[in-house]
Amino acid sequence: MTSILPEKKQSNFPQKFALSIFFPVLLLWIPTGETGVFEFINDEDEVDIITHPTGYNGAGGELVVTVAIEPLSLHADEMEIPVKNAINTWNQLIPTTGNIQIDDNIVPFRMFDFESVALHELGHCIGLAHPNLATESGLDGENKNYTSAISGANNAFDLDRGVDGVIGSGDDVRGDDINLHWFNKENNNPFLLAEVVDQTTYSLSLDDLPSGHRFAANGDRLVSLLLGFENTEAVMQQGITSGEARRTLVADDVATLRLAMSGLDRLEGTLDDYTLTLQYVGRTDDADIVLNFDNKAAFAACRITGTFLNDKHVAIQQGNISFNTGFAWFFNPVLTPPAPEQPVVSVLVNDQDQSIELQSGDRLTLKVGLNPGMKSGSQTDYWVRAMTPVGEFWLDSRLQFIRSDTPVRAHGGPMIALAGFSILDSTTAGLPAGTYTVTFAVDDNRDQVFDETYQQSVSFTILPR
Amino acid sequence: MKAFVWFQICICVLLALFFIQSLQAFQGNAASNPEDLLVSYTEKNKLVQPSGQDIKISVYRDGYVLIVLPEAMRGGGLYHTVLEQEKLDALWTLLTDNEILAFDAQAVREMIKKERRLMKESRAVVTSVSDKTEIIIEIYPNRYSSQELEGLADEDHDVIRHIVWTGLRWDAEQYPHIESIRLLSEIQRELLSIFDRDDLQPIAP
Repeated sequence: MTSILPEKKQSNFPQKFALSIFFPVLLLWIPTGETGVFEFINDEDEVDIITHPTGYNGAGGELVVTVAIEPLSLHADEMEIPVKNAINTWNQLIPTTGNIQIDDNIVPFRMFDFESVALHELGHCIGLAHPNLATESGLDGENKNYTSAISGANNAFDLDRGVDGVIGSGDDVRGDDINLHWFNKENNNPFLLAEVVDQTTYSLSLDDLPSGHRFAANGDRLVSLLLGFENTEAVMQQGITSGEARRTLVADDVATLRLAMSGLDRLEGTLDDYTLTLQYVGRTDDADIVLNFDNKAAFAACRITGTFLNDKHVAIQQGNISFNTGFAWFFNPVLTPPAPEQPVVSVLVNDQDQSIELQSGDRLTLKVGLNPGMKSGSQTDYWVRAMTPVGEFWLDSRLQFIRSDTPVRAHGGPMIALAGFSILDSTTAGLPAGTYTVTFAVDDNRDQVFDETYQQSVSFTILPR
Repeated sequence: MKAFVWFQICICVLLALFFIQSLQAFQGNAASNPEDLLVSYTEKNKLVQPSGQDIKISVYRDGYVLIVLPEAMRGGGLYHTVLEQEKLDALWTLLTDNEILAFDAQAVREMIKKERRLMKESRAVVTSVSDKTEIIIEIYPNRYSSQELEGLADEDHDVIRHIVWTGLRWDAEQYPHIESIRLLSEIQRELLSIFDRDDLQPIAP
C-alpha cells in the first residue's frame, strides 16, 4: 500500500485540525497565581494580618470546623443541601474558571442563589475578606471593584483604572493607597494557582509586582475577561445579581486560604501548616459557624469573633452568618457529588466513547474531556497519541500530529477541567483504511516522561472503499 | 320601606364620604412638599447588583411617610402611611438629641479604633463583620413645628444634618456604651418599625 502519510514531521492527519482553544489556554497557563485579603484588618499597622479558622493555635495538623443551621431558622429544611454543597466546595479547594452561571434553569432570574451567598459568607467565617474595596470602603457603584486597600496619607482612595480601562487590573494607578491584596510576585494573576502558596511566592508589597504592573489585580469578572477567562469571578468578590450562581472557587479564593494554611511562619511545608475540614453537624446553635435567617443583616453577613495569636495572626473563635428574609432566595435542591479523588479522562470519536466504523469521506471529530477532581491545579503532562495503520503519531505543542516512535508531549502545566474539547473536526478523506486508536492521557507529575497515569482511549475503523 | 331606603342612602353617602376623605388624606400627602421633609433614611445595600437597591424612608411634618422598597426585595415598590402625632413627636425627640445633632462620625470611628487597639493589645476578643450596610440619615432640625419655622430665614429652614454610618446594627450591639451609636440605632429601629404597621399601603405605579 502506498504510504499516504509521508514520513516527515508534517503529517496529513492533523492538517484539518480545528485549532482548539484548549491548548492555547494551557500555553497561557503560567503556573503562578494570586491570593486575597483577610478579615480583621482595620489599620495601617494591620495590613499583613492573616486570619485563621476556628481552632487554630499555631500547631499544624487537621483543623475541623463545625457548621450548623440554627434549628429555628426560616428555610432551615431548604438550607441543608446548599450548605452541604458550600461546605464541600471549601473542603475540596478546587480552583475553577467559568464559575459564573446565569441561567434560568439553574437560578430563576428574580431570585438570589442561597448556595452562592452561603459559600461567600462561609469564606468570611473562615477568615477571608473581600479582594475588592467593597462596602467597607464607603464607595459606590463600580468604584467598589478596585482592589482592596487602605487609603494612604491623603486619607482618600486614589482611583484610576489605568490604560486598559479595567477596574481592579494590574495597571490601576492607586496613588498612596496601601494594598491589602496578597498577589503572586511572578504574575499578579488572580485566576492562576501557584504550586507553592506562601510568603516566598506571594506578597503585599507593590515593590514585588511584576515589571509593568502598578497594583495588585483582584478577582473581578472584568479582570478575568481581560486575562482571557470568561464568566469568572472570585467567590469572595463582593456583589451578586439575582439569577446568578457562583458556586465554585477560583484560584484567588483557594490561594488565600492556602496562604493561611501555611501557618504562622507563612511557609508551606513546615510543621505549623494545617488542612481545613468543614463539617456539617446538622440543626444546632452549638457549632463553630451557625447559619440563620435572623434578619440581622440587610442581605447577608458573617459576624466573627477572634483573638490575636500575635501581632500578625488572628484565630477566629466563632462565626454567625445572618440572612435577610426580605429577598426571594433560591435553594439548590441538588446535592453536588464530591469531586473524584483521581482525575477522570475521556476521549470521544464523533461523540462516541465506543469503537465506530467510518467510510471514507465521513466526518471525523475527536474531543477530549478531563475532570481533574481533587488534583485540579496539579502540574501535569498532557499527551495525545494516535496509533494508526501507518504508525504512531503524537500531538505536539504546536497542535499538530507528528510521526514519532517516541512520546511527544502536547503540553505541560496545571490540570484544568475540560468538557468535550474539540481537538479534531475533519473528515476521513485521505486517511488510509484501517483501525485507529486515539489515547488522551495526563500524568500525576510534570516531568516530560510519558507515564499515562490517567488515560482513556477510543478507536475507529475506516472501512476500505 | 321608604325610611329603610333613605337609611341605606345615608349609609352609602357616609361611607363614600369616609373613603373620599381617606383617599384625599393620602393623595394630599402623596404630593408632600419637599420643604416639609423632616428626615430621610436610606439603607444602601451594596452587596446586591446592580447598585441602587436602597431602602428609603422619608418622614414629613404632617406625619406622612413615604417608603421606597427596592425591586430586588420581595414586595419592592412604593408604600405610604401617616404617623400619629405622638409617634412623630417621639421620633423627633430622638432625631434632635444633642448627641445626634452633634454626631461626629470621624470622632466616633477614632473612638472605636482606639477601643479595638486596646482589645488587640490585651489579646481580648475582637469582632469583625463582613458585608455591612451603609445608612444615611438626613435631618432637617429646624422644620418640625410652626413655632420653629416662624422667623427663620429660608436658608435656616433648610439646614440639614447629614449622618453616614456603615454597620450600625452590629456596632450598636458591640458598643452599647457609645451613646451616639445607641441613639442612631434607636432611630433606625423606630424608622424600620414602620414596615410593621397595619396601615402601610402600597402606592399603585
